[in-house]
Amino acid sequence: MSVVGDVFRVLRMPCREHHALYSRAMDDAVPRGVRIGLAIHAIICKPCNRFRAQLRAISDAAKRLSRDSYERIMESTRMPEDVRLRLRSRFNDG
Amino acid sequence: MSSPLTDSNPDVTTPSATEQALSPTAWVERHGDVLWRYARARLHDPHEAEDAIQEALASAWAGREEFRKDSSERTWLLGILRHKIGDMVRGSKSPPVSLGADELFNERGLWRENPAAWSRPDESFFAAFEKCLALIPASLADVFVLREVRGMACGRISEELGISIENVWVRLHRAREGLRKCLGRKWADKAGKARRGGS
Repeated sequence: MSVVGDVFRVLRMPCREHHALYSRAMDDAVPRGVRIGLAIHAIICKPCNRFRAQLRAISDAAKRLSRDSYERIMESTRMPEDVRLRLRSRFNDG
Repeated sequence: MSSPLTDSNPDVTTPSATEQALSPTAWVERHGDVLWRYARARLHDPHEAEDAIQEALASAWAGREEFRKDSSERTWLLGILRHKIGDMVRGSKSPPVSLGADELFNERGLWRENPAAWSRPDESFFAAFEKCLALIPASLADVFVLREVRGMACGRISEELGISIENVWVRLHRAREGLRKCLGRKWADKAGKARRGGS
């Protein structure tokens, strides 16, 4: 579909359809026309504008997060004791 | 294939592990946390993660003759677990693709409740962000970090985790939505109350 066609297609969509597309646009996974349509919609639609601003704040926060701090977070994810006990008992039982 | 989540974990098991120590229960003791993190990073459901580990340990036990003493025990177990998880992800047990749109939008496709206008992110925002990242399912957080923190292309993530690119996009969307909701509760609401209380 042409760029202009994509723009109009997006502008005719309800906000519900834009919801996932805003996220996908952050992953370079939408054509240019869709991206332009989303940007225009966000100018005229206050809720979507706020939603997009929230996604950007989240993305900016992630950029600040270094690999080290993520691994520190993951480091706290230990195997729960009940899982450990169940696995041990299953193999002990044969 | 190396995993970004396990690279930092030094393998403390020496190749000369004794025959007695080579048992599923001993593996749970020595490598339980690493296996658990690896499985939880890739499977949404903790029960599936437990099943995958159990199956991997059973397979490893059945095929213990194939374990080469010159390779590390942990790498060997993670390789088996990776295969088990790959089978589960490709099979019927793929992560749910619900985007939670029904609770956000009405039947006309409009927002039920308008998203709040967040104030400028401050240090408390970043602190809440870290907490929220640990709270959303690891299978989503893992993909989100590869994409947003490390800047990895979606195609590369798809190859790395053995899932489709559509699944990568869906997980990213769900991760962002989970973080947004969590930040709304843990940061935006509190910041709003503090402002109102202080004025």
